[in-house]
Amino acid sequence: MKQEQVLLAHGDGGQLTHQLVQELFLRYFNFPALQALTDAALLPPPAGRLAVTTDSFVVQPLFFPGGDIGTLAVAGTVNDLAVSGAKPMYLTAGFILEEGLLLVDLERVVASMAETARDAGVAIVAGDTKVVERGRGDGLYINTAGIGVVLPDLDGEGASLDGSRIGEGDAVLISGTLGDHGLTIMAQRAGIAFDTPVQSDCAPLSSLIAALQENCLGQVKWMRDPTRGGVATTLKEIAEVTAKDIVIDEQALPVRDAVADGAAILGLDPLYLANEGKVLVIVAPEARDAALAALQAHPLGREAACIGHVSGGSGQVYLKTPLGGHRILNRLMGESLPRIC
Amino acid sequence: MKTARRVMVKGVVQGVGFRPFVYRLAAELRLGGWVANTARGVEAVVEGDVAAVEAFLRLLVDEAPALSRISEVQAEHVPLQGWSSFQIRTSKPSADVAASIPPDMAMCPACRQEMNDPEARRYRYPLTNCTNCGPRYSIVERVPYDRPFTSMRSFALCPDCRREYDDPGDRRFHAQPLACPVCGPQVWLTGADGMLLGGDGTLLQSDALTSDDCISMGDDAPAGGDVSNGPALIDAPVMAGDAQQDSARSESWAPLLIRRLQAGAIAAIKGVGGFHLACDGRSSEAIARLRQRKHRPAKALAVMARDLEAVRKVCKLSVAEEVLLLSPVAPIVILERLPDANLPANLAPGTKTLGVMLPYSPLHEVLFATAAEQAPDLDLLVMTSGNRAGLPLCYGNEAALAELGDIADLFLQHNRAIVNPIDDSVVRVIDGQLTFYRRARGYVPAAIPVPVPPGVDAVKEPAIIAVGGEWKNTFALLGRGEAVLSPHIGTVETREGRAHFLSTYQRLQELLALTPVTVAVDRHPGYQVSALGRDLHLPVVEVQHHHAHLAAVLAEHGYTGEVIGAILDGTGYGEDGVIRGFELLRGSVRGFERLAWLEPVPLPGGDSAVGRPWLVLAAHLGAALGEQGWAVAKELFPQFARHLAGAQAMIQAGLNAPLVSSAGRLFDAVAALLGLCLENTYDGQAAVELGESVAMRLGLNGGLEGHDWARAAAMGTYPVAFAQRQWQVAPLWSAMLQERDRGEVPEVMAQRFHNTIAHMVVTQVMQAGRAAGIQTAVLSGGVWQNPYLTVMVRRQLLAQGWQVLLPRLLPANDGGLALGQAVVALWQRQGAGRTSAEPVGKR
Ligand SMILES: [Fe+3]
Ligand SMILES: [Mg+2]
Ligand SMILES: [Zn+2]
Ligand SMILES: [Zn+2]
Repeated sequence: MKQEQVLLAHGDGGQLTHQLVQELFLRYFNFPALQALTDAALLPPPAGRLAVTTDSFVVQPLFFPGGDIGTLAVAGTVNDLAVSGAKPMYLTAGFILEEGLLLVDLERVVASMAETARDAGVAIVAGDTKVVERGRGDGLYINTAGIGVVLPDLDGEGASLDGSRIGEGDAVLISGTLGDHGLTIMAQRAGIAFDTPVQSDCAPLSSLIAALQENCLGQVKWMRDPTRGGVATTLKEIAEVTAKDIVIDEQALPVRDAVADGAAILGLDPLYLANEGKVLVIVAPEARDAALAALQAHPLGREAACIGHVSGGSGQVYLKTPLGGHRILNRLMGESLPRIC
Repeated sequence: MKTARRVMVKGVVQGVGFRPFVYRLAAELRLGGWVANTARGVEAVVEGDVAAVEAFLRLLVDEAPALSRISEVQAEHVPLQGWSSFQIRTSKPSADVAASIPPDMAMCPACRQEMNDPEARRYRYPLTNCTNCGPRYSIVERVPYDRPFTSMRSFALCPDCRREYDDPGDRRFHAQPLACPVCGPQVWLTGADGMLLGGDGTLLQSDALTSDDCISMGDDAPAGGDVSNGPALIDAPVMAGDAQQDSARSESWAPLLIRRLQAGAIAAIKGVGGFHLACDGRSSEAIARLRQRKHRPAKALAVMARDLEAVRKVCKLSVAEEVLLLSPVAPIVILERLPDANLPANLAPGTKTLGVMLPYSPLHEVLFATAAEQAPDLDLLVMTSGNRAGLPLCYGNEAALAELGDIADLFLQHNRAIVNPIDDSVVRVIDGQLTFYRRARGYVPAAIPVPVPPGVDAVKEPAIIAVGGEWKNTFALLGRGEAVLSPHIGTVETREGRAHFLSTYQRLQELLALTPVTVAVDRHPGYQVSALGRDLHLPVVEVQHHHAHLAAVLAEHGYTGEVIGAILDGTGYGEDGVIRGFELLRGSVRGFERLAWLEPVPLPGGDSAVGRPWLVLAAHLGAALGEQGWAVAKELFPQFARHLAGAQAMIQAGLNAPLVSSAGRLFDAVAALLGLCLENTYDGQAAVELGESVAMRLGLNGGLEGHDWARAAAMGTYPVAFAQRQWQVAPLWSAMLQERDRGEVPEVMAQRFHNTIAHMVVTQVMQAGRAAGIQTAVLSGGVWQNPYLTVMVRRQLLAQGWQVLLPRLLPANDGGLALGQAVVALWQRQGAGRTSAEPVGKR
């Protein structure tokens, strides 16, 4: 590439735009439906209900240990499809570039997206690029939309993953450690390096979730990727929706030592830190062991754990502490404002 | 000439011997008629000579029983009915307005004497009581206060007790909880496994001391006590007649328990309002074991002393303090330790004081009487609340075994069910004035009259619930022009605490016959207790934290004018979103305006920094002195170098570092600088230890000690700037660092720091007062539990001709917050006030 930075002309639809699409996007996004360069991707209709989602990615910094905004843009949307019980199939990608963004950085991001998409088994089938003036963006924003097809075992009897099947005694599982992504981003933004480095868990979960569903056909009652607000906020939301209580055990929570340590330094709670490669699963009690085994058999689920259970109640989430009490967990607040008087 | 009157007496008139008093009075004056407890109070009809009836009405008030508190007497003429005798009628339930339930009362001298008399039938009966003493609030299920509505309802009176109950001349005439070894509740001792340790003690072979066996708690172990089962189903062990007598007396359990305590065991002892955890107060090993098992490394433990003589061996005792200890309330009184007290260092570390109470129930009396015979050296027992760290007090037998099974080796239980759990009250005499640290047993549920807006009919005014603060929580029910504060709830941040709050709320609503239509909550967005308040689905009034602190003091003094308030505490969510704990307000129960405040500093980690004084110090030094301040912090705390680097980076990046302007944090920071306390293991530890370290003591030992505040002030201050309505403490930090480098002793620096705070407050209070034409100050917020600071500020303001209002009926800390919330809500609801966000405006 001749230009080192993104210019306003990269977005005017002229020669530079053409060059960017040809030499960068099409080079990495090697998917037939995209390469056809039609105004819209023309795709065969899948057998089953469609799942459709969209998400925008504005993470700072753009690059962080364990991934970058591109990995996140693909994994985030793929995971939203997967936890809805769908097999992710197609993605679109919209890029908002800030004038002055280094083209090598853009190339790194696009390469990550292509690689993550291949890992997840999805095709990027449509895209768009706009350029905004210097100072009007944070380098790069990405929007992705995703289309998946709902897996047959969920479609068959009208069984759904919206939480309506959750009952007392159900087990709450997490596919791995808490807070890796959130802490990594916070540390990057503060410019802090810990003794033991931490890295984002950012990863597409489609194959892990497919493995889980294969092994526990019809027994998974609910799944969600605990991103913003972390495990605590995600559980609080489903507890309120179902008007049941969820009791989790502090000692059962898988947290990497480096994350626990770093979170303590920054005054953060891993329960409220974002995850980008984890899934929370609620299954019937009799399916607990099989579900756990299925998760642990997958490379992305080796540290999966049963962290609690559903009980009767009124929509509270409790954290059972080693001292014997049950601390009430609420949604994430903006800042952890001091309360002790 | 004859006349008749129907008389209604309201106030604390039930359970205090009021009806027998009325009976005797009527008999002496040869009046006919009757007296009865009703849900509204005591009702009577008296008929007789005009002069006698008038004398009756006068003496009714003048000679009312010592424990009664009459709020109102209504007397109306009624037609003569020709009553020839005077009767006590059984209680009439129903009616809309409740009579006051009396607080629990310590054993009276007559009962103490009787139970120590080997000839008396209640010799060493651990649950004896009479009209003048015993449990009240803690056993009441419903009003009116009458045996069938208490947890004593399942114990049928034996003929002897019946005779006493029916005899107007007897001390137990209509004493609702009366009992004896034959018919009353029983006491027994078990191991942590719940197995009865009975007979003569030889059955007990195993030494549970070395065993840490615990009963594991299920996920859903009940948080409460026996109440759900109903007190009629109490789990007394089955024993044959003789054994039952033995166990009820002290023959079987007391010597065994004393022996085990002497050997260092920890016992859970069911008292009046809940379980205590007890051990030998002179054994540092036993105390260390209790601390380790209870996860309470440093917070001072209270003791129960055998008698005043035992107290005097370890503490200074003034007349005022002695009177408190011996009063029917029998609170824990914080006393000055004697320098040569020779007590274990781990009893009350970091302080020069000791919280002491005397045996206040007959069960305690049996314990100490047995100890006196058998182990004369066992004159102090640690008696701390029987709860797990952060959880409510245990009060049911089964719950205690389940929750305290891995803390206590032995469980002394009885089957008089506690219906309403209540902790011991904690008080201190500061500058000659009774000061509350915790207001509970002996005081709750006595009502506090509050000022009512003009034109408002207090009786008809709908009730208000104020949910209080996040920690040290109590809530308030306001109705009929007075407020009842709940016992200490603690925190609602756990399922157990929340359930405790809600069940206490339910019970008090019933006992007081109040149905709130408004809920007052703190504005803090992170307070779980405010969320609980909103969940009550009543119209919400948000009250700013420090306005509530201010209004609490105004309310208890019945003061409705404008004052200058110096509110110093840890954290109050300001109406502007800043966390505040050091502000000068001008205001009243109607509203307030902020006049001055401590310059805020960013606190890295927010809430999580509060327990880390070293981090708070670093934040302060960094804010005051920039890079150099951080360098000093890193030099002071090399062990926290990584944390400090992280904290500094977070502040620079503006991440999770909310602005905090707090007196509590300033005390934390100074305590860390002086090397007194680096980590808080309990709320307020650094501030407590800093306050206790001051070289001179003021206003203690009943107010007798060190009244020389002028001499104390002459020890000097550190420089502080005041600009743009903010106190700026950067000069203070420079000066303290210099003094420290010069090798000044921490005690002197601590004193100068206190002097500085006092100077800051006094100067600006007077400045504000001059500008506003006000000469009345309110000192409120937890920092004012610091005796030195309080005496210093109060005395200086008094010397300038100011009136100084301090919390006298409630703690200065968040334990008193709910009263202020309730009163602000009452005045705001009337449109009499402005919203708290709106300034009062200048005249
Ligand atoms: Fe406060
Ligand atoms: Mg999403
Ligand atoms: Zn008595
Ligand atoms: Zn009897």
